Amino acid sequence: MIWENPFLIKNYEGNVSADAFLDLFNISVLDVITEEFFCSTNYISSSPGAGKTTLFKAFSPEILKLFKEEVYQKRYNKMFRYLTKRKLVAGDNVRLISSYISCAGNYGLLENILEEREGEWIFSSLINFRIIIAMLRSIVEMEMWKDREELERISFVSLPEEMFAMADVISNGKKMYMWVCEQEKKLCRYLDGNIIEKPQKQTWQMTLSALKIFEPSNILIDGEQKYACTLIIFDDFHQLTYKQKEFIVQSLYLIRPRIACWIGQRLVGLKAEQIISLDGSIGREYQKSIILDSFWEKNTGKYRNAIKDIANRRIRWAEISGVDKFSTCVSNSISGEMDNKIEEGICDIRNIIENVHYAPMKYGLIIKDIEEGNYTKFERAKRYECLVIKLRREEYGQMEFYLGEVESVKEFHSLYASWEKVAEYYFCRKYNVPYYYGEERLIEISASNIEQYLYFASGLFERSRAAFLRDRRGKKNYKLSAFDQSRYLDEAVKKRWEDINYRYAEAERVQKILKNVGVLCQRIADGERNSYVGGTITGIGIPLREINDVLSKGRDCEILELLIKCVSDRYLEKRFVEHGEKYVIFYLNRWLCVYFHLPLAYGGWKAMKIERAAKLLDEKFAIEDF
Amino acid sequence: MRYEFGESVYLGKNEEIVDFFRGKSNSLIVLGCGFDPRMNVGIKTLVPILNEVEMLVIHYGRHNNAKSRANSKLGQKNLSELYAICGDRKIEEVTIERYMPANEKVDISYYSLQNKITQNMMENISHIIVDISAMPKEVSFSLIQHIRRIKTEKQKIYILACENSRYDNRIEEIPARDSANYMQCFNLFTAGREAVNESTTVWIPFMGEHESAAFKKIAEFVKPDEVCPVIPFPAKDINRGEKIIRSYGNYLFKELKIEKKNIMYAPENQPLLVYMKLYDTIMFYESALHYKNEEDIKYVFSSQSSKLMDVGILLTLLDLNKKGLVVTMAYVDNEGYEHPEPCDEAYNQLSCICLDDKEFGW
Repeated sequence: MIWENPFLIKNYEGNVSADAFLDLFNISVLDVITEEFFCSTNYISSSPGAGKTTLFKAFSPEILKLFKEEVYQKRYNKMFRYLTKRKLVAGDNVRLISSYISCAGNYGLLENILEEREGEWIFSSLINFRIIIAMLRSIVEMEMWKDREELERISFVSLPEEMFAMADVISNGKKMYMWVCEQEKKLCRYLDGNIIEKPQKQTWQMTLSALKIFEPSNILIDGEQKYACTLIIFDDFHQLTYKQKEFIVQSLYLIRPRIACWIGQRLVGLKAEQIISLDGSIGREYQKSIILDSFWEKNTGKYRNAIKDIANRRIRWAEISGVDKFSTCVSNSISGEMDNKIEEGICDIRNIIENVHYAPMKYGLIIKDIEEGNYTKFERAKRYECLVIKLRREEYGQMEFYLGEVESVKEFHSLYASWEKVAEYYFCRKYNVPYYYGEERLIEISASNIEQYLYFASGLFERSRAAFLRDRRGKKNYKLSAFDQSRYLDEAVKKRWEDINYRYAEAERVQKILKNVGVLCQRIADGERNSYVGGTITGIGIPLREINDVLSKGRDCEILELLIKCVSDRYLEKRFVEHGEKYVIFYLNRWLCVYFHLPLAYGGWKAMKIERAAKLLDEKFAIEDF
Repeated sequence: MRYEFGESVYLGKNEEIVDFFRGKSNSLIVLGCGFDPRMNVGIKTLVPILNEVEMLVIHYGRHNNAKSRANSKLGQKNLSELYAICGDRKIEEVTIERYMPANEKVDISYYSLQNKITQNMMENISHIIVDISAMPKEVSFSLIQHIRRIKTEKQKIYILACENSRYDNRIEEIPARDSANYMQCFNLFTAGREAVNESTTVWIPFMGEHESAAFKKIAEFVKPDEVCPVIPFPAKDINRGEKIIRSYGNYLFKELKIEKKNIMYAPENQPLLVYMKLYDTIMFYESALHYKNEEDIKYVFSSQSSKLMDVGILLTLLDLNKKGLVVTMAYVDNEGYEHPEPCDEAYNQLSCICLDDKEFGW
């Protein structure tokens, strides 16, 4: 049997069975879905990999039907409690029926290949057909019917007025299904040029009448109402044209069906102002909008717990004896394996300190404490590095007239507490000691994106397993050393960087801007004297006022367009900071920090005006300009 | 008859082509203007021997990037050479839009072709020779499908291709789209129907070197239930099949979990055999999986292989589409090509298939 890496399983895909899905699913993401989401229209946006499709799958009939059985209610009790609380499940009755419609079906072409009017009614017809087919299929799935013959058991209290003429043809679920499938086929064959005769245009197809048919009170199964709530999910909404989006949104507003609609889209589907705005709101009062990325960014604690739980679930999925947590696969310390390098680093730092004429005297007590204190080698190294930062800052500020004072150890301890992370970064960077390792750092590298986490975790897990198998006798555990983790991450981010080439037509420009920001950050790290979080900047900040000015006037601004594009695809992460005025900070995604050997903390950023930021795209980019 | 094109005349050698076309009158050669040095190979052979011949040169829009601009200069060079070869013969140039003006990701070449290439352009023409040597397959497949739909019964259509698998293997496509799509000329909408969304999908990818990024994108897009990879064998490079399996092995066996017995072998230079093999495979699946009243099975091809193998796929698509099966072709659009210089002409092999002439049709 071929071994399957559990971190590579895409939980949202159809080939993952319902119980497997729930085994791997962490329900924290469901916190974004409040009760009102089941009776209104809502936008759910995210960048790729933030967990939108997985969230949608959690409400699919394939998953929900499991909760009809007590055994699953107990096994997945957290999910069951959530569903019960939202009144979506009552005892062994599932009260929610949902269907998933992808808008990625080349609808955009219709506007180009057909005349305006024709394009509109064909689009509307296709959406109607698809709602009907998907809803009827969902009912078959939910009711666990053997085949579609049983659709006969479905009837409707009433049909929308415009469908009265066809009442006989679609009087029950089966007739409706057969008829609509046939109509869809005809229309598609016409669009593909396989038949010349244009299908007949019918009034009901001009609006989204299908939404009315599937109001929960309208669906009867064996003559009884079974569902309390109907949910239709329109995913990949960003792939529709502006007109098509407006048509669906307006139909929902005008028809006001008593069903819930979720509109899933990637951030690229949002307008620039929405991507840049504080909360990404859509600006329609009657529709709520959530951005999954923001949810995770605002709830970092929740994200940490969720991601650890997801990793552990996947580890358990692999069923390897003695390995039930991800933390058993990756080492969280470098002690032991890098001792020689650390010792070399310490020697070097001692020389640096000794070469500063006043340092041995001024810091004599501190040096004695570092040398004689009960510290590990790496802790000593970080303390020495801390001292170097202090020296560099003193030299840079040219503040020194040494008058014989001696710094106290106590003062140094409190300084070390706040500079420890910076010192670690500088030391590791300078002496080639692994910095990117351990479970916590991996979570930081994932930058609030589940897929990004799984991507890196999959490689680490695979290597950990390979190392174990290779050295089964000598090795007693699965722990991958810090050095091996760091080496893998180095390779993985390079691969991801290359991958940009396959994502964009303008990959060169995207890479250019990211690279130049990276180089700028590296340059600042070179000084080795920054005490602020991380040790260097990891992004650039542009005044919000300037951005709003460009966007409101509709001015062409290549750099801003690219920055927004990078935000929507998560190459850059957007934050807001008040610093005299409001700034939009474009931080490098944390995996790019690994690529450019930068620290992982969100701390420093370089403020610049748009005009100057444009130089990041210049052919003659010169670091001195910044 | 089982195969619609089973007895079509196939001319696999230069001399056979010269013999076949010598003295034919009222011919139209349709060819694409591109960077490929093989663009004029067919013209050089055919123009001197055809009695009355016209040219229809198709320019297709490209992505606006440095690679495309560089390739476009090579295209201009090839075009000047074409004018020199044709002398005072009639040459018409047509430009088709490849991408939606508002969105460069949406390919509209098939619909542009429908507007730009009309029946009137082929009046008084008896032989329509489509030279696909310098055409991307999205354009060539669309063009042939479109011409077949608009041509009269008397008009005959021929597919001419200059094969050079050594050169083809070295051309690297730079994928442009975020994901793959089905070809517009073959069931783009029908294959995306909601009603076939959950039905069985059989994917038959023709494997080639250096295309793993596109291959993965197609796999993610098609989400196949069954995969039957096709390896070119026999091929000029006897190890080609092995090299391909080695380079894709991990993905094929580990991620797609295909069974080894699903791998098919098809000859590199015999499009008719490729066609018949594909036809039989699909018919086998139809008989095994497609029960009465069940939803249609979706058959998806993709190709990262040579031009002649593409012709085999095209014939299968034309035939089975006519028989009402849901067959389609998935592809990843590219924003340009990295190609080696120069093309070793010694390996050029001109071939032609006559879709409307039967081998034993007397």
